[in-house]
Amino acid sequence: MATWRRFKRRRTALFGLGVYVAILLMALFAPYLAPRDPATQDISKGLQPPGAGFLLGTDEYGRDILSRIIYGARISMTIGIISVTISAVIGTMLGLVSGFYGGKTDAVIMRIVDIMLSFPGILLALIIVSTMGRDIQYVMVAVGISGVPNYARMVRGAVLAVKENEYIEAARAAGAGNLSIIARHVLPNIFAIIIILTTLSLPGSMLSAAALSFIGLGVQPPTAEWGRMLGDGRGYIETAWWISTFPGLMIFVSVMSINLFGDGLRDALDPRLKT
Amino acid sequence: MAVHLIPGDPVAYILSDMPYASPELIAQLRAQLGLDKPLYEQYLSWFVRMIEGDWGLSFRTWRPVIAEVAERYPNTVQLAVAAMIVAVSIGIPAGIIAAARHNSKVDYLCMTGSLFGVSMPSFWLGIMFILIFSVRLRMLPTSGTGSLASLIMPTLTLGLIQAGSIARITRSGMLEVLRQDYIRTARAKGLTEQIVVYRHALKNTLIPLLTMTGMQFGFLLGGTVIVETVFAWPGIGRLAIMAIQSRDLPMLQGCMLVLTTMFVTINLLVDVVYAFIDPRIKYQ
Repeated sequence: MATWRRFKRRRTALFGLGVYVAILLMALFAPYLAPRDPATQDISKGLQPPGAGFLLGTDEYGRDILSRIIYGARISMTIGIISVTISAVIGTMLGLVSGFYGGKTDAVIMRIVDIMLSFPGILLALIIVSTMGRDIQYVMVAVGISGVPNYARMVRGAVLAVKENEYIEAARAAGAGNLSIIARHVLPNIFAIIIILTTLSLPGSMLSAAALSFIGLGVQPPTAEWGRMLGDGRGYIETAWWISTFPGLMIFVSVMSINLFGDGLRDALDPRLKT
Repeated sequence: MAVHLIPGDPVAYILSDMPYASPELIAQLRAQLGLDKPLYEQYLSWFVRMIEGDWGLSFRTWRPVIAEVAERYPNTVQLAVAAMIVAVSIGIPAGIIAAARHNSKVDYLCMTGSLFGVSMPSFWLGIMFILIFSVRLRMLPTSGTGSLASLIMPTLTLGLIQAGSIARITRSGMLEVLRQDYIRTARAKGLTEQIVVYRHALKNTLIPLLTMTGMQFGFLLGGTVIVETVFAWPGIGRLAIMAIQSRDLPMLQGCMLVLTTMFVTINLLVDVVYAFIDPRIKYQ
C-alpha cells in the first residue's frame, strides 16, 4: 500500500516535470508553434471570442491571444529562471561565507538577512522595482534579490552542518586552504539542498514576477507576458473574459507543475522535509 | 528611509515622467524636499516629522499623507483579519486531518487542494471570482466596500490561497510530531482513543505553528497589496500601488511605514504569545 503511494507520488512529480519542460519547449520553439505574430495588431478583429480563426480569441488590439501566450512563455519562463538564479547565486555566496567563516561576518550577514526576511517578499520586490524602473530586467533583479534571504539562511545552515564533519578537519590537516575546502568538500555536499531550494523558490518567484507585471511594473507593451496580459485584460472582464483567463491559467499551470515536481523531489531526497 | 537607500537620485525619479524639467525646477524641488542638506540631517528631520505625524503631502492629491493613510488603514485591517480567519479556519483543520489520515483519500484531497491554492496567482483567482460571481451570476459587487457582500470575494481570494499554505505547513508539522516516540508511547499505553493522541500531537504541533503565523501574516499583507488592486478595495495596499504608479514619494513612504509597522507588530505579538504559552505546556 505504501509503495503504491510512493510510486504514485513519483509519477506526479515526473508529470509536473514533464509539464514544465513542455512549457519550456513551447517557449523555445515559439516561432514555429505560434499561428500568428504576437504583436500584429488588427483592430478590426479585436475582442473576438475563442473560435475557429483565433483559438483563444483576440485582445482589444486584435492580437491573437494564443500566439501571445506561446511567445509570452519565453518571457515568463526566462524571468522565473533568471531571478531564481540571481537568488541562488547571491544567497549561496552569502550563506557560504556566513556559515564557513562565522564570527563577526556571520553575525553581520545574518542581521541583514533577518531584516530582509522581516519584509514580505512582494513588498521588497515592489520597492526595488518602483525605484529602479519598469522593465523586465528590473523585475528579474527585484524578484531575485527578494529571494536571497531564504537561500542565505538555508545554505548557511547546511554549511554549518557540513563544517562539523571530520573530513573537513582531515582536509585541513592535509594542508588544504579554505577556498579549496569550500570548493571540493563543502559545495558538493550542499548541492542537494540548493537544488531543492531552487525548486521551492521558483514558484514563488514566478508568481511575484507575474504580480509585478500585472500591476504594470514589469514588462512594457507590446511585449507579451502572462502577468501583463492578465492586467491588461482586467478592464475587459465583462466583454472579453478570455484576455485575462488564459494567461492566468498558464501561470497557474506552470507554477503548479514546478510545485508538483518540487514536492516529489523533496519527498525522494529528504523525507524529513516532507510537506 | 528606503528612499535614501535608492540607488540614484530621488529628484530624478520624481521628475522622470517629465522630460522638460529645467535646472531651476530641479533645484527648487531639491530644496523643497530638503535634499540639499547632508544625508543624516535629512534622515533625522524625516524621522522627527514621522513621529510628529507630519508625513508630508501626497504628490498626487495634495492632501496630507497621514490623512489618506488613516482613511484607508481600517479597510486593510478588515480585509487582512477576515482573510486570516478564513485561512486559519480552513487551513489548520485541513492540515490536521490530512496528517492524521496520512496517505488516505482525504490526505490526497487536502494536498491537492492546498497545492492548487499555493500555485494560484492571487490576482488570477480574484479575477476569476469576479468573472463568475459578478459578471456571470451577478451575485456580488465587483468592487468597493461597505457591505458584507463586497467583503466576500477579496477575503476568499486572499484567504483560500493562504489556507493552502497553512494546510501544507500544518500537515508537515503534524506528520513530524506524529513520528515522535512519545506518540508511539501514548499509543502503546493504550490511551483510549486517537483523540488523546490528537491532543498530545496537536499541542506540540500548534506551538511552532504559531510562530509560522507571524510569517504567514507577512505574506498575507503582501497579498493584500495585489488583492486590493484587483478588487479596488480602498486599503493601504492599493494606496501603495497607486503611489508607485504616480511616483508619489511621500505616499509611498507613508504606506511602507504603515505596512512594515503592522508586520513588525504582529510578529512581536506572536513572540509574546509564544513566550506566554510555552512555559504552561512544560508544567503539564
